[in-house]
Amino acid sequence: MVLGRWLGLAFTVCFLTGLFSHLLQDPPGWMLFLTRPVWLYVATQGIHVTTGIASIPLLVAKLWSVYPELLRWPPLKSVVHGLERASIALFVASSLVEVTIGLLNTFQWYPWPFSFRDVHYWLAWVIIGSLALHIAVKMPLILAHWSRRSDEAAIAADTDGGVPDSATVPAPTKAGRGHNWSRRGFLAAITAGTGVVVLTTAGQSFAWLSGLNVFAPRRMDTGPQAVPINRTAAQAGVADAALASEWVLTVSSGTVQKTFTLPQLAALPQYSYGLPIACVEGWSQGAQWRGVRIRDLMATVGAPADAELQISSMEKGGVYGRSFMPAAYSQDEQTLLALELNGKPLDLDHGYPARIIAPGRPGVLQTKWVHKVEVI
Amino acid sequence: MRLHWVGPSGSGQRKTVWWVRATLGALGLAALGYALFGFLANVPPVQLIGVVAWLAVALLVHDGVLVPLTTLAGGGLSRLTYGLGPGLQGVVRGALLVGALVTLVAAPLIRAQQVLEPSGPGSGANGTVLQGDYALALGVFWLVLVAAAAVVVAAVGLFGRRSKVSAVPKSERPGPERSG
Repeated sequence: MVLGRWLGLAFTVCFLTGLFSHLLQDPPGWMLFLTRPVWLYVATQGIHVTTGIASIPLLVAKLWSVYPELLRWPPLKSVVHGLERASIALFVASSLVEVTIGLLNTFQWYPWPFSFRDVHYWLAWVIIGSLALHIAVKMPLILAHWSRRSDEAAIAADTDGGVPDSATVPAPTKAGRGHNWSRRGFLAAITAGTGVVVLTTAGQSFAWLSGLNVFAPRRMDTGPQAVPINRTAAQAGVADAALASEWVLTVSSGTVQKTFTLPQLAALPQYSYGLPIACVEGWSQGAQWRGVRIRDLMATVGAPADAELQISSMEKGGVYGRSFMPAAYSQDEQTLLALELNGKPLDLDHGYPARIIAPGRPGVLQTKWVHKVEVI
Repeated sequence: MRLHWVGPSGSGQRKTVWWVRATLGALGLAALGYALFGFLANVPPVQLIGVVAWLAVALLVHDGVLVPLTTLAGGGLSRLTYGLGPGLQGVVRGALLVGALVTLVAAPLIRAQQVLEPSGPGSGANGTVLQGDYALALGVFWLVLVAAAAVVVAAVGLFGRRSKVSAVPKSERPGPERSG
């Protein structure tokens, strides 16, 4: 019951932060875009991935504690009972697959025959729906548990603070355990395990925990210019085009079009901001970016202030090939076409010669190796 | 799990509970329906077969292999540590459980490193993912865990014997809480 509460909370947090990330990447017309705090997406996606990792021990423990229910006889009492069991099977299977593929995705390991993005998203709806249904079905049990708890508290108050024997509170999960294994000991071990798992992985998302990061796939301050990479120039197949001396940036609004060489871009007013880059895979990294404000760039072609932009990469196709930038970001003073990172020209793997960096956006939308910015 | 299908009846609190359950249940079913629609509309049939296969295998592996094995291991552990008494048995069991949970999350990292074979510079591979020595870290973690558990068991064992000699009442004895 206690585990269920924590797991339900973890799943709800994962669902909401995941939904937020999904809406940022695939925004409906009504979407509200927030550019402050600049670490907004660092927080939501860091929480998403860390809570997802925390839910692995919680899920395993919860399933283990209710395992006797699986073996209960008779297996089917009625049609309603059968439906309930089927819904539980779907809930359990979806949860197991969801946390597994979520974890492996942070390793960039995809050993399954389906699209991670679609399946992770739609399974999330299966899980949140099953969770609501499960709570609805089990509500009498949950309420009984709570009222027992308050009875217990009342007894404790009556007896001047003395704690009643925990044996008077029959836990429905007790049946599955060895006789020497107390409920409290089990919960303490699960809490400790979950704590260790969280503390040794959350450092990939949160700088103040990076010293403890031993079991996360990502480390802060690694990679070229001390910033990790999602996709290298070689993986994207852009190295030759990006390093070519004839590279120019094309900026357009309607029929007005201008091109800029790298020296011409560097001659425009440059601004420098400390902005984090935060990946959908949960890792993040603060860095100092310097370059041209997107709104200054758009002003050179007379683009309207509320214009939505399409940013094209030299990488062709896929989710990285181009991105769309709503006016909330393009008008923000901190949204840059960055030419420098941490005091040096961008490394090829960070998007040389020019890349997008905007506050509070998923890393997948911070398009690298940019060659075209246009009003759509 | 009994829900009155016709409508709320009885006292005010029972009515509230009925409405909360009905609302949650309806929302849950709506989300499930939305998910079904989403899968059918967005995921190609070949991939859907893959999803169903993964769901089935996850259930079979977890319920059919992992849980029975850990239950057997737990039973075996009880026999092995029978002489320790319930408190210390709890310490050993708790340490093993923590180790198993951490291994569950850390082992896939090691497997991914083997499968994805990160290669040297120039290969174009991403040098910023899976770069830790996870096998070493996991080994060190287990060593620390085993050492800590051993220290507790030894200390309590020693202290327990001494306090028996000096006849300190059982209830005043510190150390890990007795469970049972």
